[in-house]
Amino acid sequence: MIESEVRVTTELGKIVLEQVNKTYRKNSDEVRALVDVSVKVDQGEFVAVVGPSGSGKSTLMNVVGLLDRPDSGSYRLDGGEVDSFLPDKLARLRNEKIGFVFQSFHLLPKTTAVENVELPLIYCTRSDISELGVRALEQVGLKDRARHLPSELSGGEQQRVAIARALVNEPEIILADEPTGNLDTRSGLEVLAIFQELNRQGKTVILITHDPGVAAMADRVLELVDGRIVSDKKTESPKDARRELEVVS
Amino acid sequence: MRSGRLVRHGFRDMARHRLRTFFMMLGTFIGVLALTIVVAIGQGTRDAMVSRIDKVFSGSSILLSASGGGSRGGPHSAGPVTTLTIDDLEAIQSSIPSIEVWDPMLLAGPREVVYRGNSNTVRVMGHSTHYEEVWSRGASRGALFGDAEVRSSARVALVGETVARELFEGADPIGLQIRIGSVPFEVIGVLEAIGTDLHGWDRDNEVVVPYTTAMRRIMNVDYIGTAKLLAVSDAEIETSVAAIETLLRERHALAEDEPNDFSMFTPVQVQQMVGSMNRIFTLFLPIVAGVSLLIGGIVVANLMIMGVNERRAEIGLRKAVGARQKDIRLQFLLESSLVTMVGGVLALVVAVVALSFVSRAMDFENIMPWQAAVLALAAAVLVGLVAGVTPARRAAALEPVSTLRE
Repeated sequence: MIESEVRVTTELGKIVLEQVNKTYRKNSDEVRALVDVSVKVDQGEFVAVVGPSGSGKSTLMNVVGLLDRPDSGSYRLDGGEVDSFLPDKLARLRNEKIGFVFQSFHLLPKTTAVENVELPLIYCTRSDISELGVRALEQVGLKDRARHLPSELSGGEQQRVAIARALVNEPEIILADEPTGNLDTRSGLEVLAIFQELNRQGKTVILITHDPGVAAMADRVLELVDGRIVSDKKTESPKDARRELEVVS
Repeated sequence: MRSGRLVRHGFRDMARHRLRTFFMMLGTFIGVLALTIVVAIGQGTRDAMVSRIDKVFSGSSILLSASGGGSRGGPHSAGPVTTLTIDDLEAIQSSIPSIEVWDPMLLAGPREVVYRGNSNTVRVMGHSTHYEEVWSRGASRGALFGDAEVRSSARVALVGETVARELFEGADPIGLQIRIGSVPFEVIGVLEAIGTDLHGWDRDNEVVVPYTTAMRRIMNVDYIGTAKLLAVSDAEIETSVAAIETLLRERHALAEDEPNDFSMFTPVQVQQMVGSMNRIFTLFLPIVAGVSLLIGGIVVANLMIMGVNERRAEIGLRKAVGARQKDIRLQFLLESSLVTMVGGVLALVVAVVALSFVSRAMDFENIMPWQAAVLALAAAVLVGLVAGVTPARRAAALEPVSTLRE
C-alpha cells in the first residue's frame, strides 16, 4: 500500500510501459505490432522513435496517446494505470494532457486557422479559453494568419496550425507522427525548431520518423524493428533545428 | 458551458458545409411542404363543396327523383322512368300537410339556342313559379314568369349570364326573340349568376322556361324527372319522406315486392356524405404525413451516413483532441434534428405564401392548416432525430486509430 503511494509520487509526469503487447488481425494474418515493449519516458524528454514502416511506431504512439489499448502489459501515465480508465476519462486525458500532430495535418476544411486551433477547447471543461487560440498561434509564429483558411496556407503553415492546435490546451506531452513527412526541408526544420522550443519549455515530445536527420534533433532515439525495441540511445549533442535553418537559408 | 460551446460549434460547422446542409434540408422541406399544401387544398375543396351544397340544398328540402330501382341495387330499366308526374306532386302537397311547396325540374337537355346568326348549346330547364322560393335563385334583370305563363305554356324564357353575354354580344336581351330548337321564345329576364356547380356545369349557361312549355313544346312528355319539395321544418323531413313514399307507392300501384320507382335525397344524406368525406380526410391525412416524412427521414439518414463515411478523419481527429463518444453523438443528432427543423420551418413559410396564391386561383378561403402543419413539423424533427441516431452512433463508435492514418 505504502509502496504504491510512493510510486505514484515518483512517477508524476512519466510515461511507463511494461511488457506491452499489441496484435492486429488483418484478414487471416496476425500482425504483432508491439512485442514485450518496456520503456520509460520522463517529463521533459525529447524522444524520436525510428524504424522501418510496419515496425510498430504508430501503434506505440497510439497506445501512448490513449487512442488504443494494449492487449497485455501495463501502461502507467502519471502513475495511473491506463487500463483501468473508462473511455470518457481517456478522452479527458487526451484533451488535457496530450497534443497530437499528424503527417497529413488533419485540419478541418473551410474553417479558419484560429477556429481549427480552438477545436480541443470545445471539448474541455475550463472556461478561460477566449485568448488561448490566438496565443497558441502566436507560439508557432502565425498570429497574423488567424483568419486564414487552411486552403490559403502553405503546407508548413498548415502543420504549424496543427501544432498550435496540439498546444492550445497546454498539454504536458506532444505526440507527433511523421510531422515533417509531407513538408519540404525548410518547412520541416521550422516545425522541428518549434518542437525543440516546446521541449525547452518543459514539454515531453515524442516524435515518430523514419528520417535519421530528423531523429538527430532529439536527445533520445528509440529504434523499433518488428514491434520490438532494438536500441535505446541518448544522443550526445542533438542538432539544433534553428541553426540548421540558418545553414539552409 | 461545454454543451453551449458544442452547440455553437455545430451551428458554425453546418453553415460551413452549406451544400450538404441544403440537401439534407430538402428532404423534410419537400415533405412538410407537400403535406401542408395537400391538406390545405383538400380542406379547402371540402369546405367549398359543403358551402355549395348548403347553398343549393339546405334546410328542409327533399329532392325527389324518378328512378328505376337503381338505388336499391336492381337493374336500371332501359328507358326513362315515366311514372312521376305533376299530378303526383299536387297529390303530395294536398295530402301531406308538412310539405309546403314544390318545384319540378325538367331537364330538356343541351339544346341549340339561336339569336339571329348566333347559336349556342345551352342547358334548357323547365320550372314552375316557385323557382325562386325553392332554389333561391331569382332574376337579376327583368322578371320571372308567373302563373299565367305556366298555365298557358307561354313561350317565354329566362337566360343565364353566360347565355346573355355570348348570344347577344352585350345587347340587353330582354324583349328579344330567340329560338330553342325550332320554337321561338321571348326573353323576359336574366337569371342571377351562380357560377360552376359541383359537377362542373356552368350554371349560367342555362335557359329556364315554364315547365308546362318544356313538357309540351320542347320535350313532348307528360312525366317529370326531378322535383324539389320544401317541408315546413327540418323536424318534419323524416315523417314527410315516409309519407311521400307510402303515397307514391300507392299512386303508382306498386306491389309489395316491387322496388320504388322513385328516390328521395334529403339533407340528412348530405350530412352523411360530408361525414364520410371528413372520415376520408382524417384517415388520409396521417398516411400522407407518414409517407412524406418517412421519405424525408430516409433522405436525411442517407446523407448523414454518407457524411459519417466522408468525415471519418474529422471524427477521428475530434476524438484524438478529447471528444467523448457522447460529444460526437450530440454533434450528429444536433445536425440532423436542426436541419430537419429548419427545413420544416422554411416549408411552412413557403406554404403560407403558396397557399395565398392557390386559394385565390382556386377560389376558396385561404386556410393555412396550422394543426396539420405544426404536426408535420414536429414529426419532421422527430424523424430527423430518429434518422440521426444510427449515423451518430456509427460516428461515435469509430476508432480514431484507423481514421487518422488515412
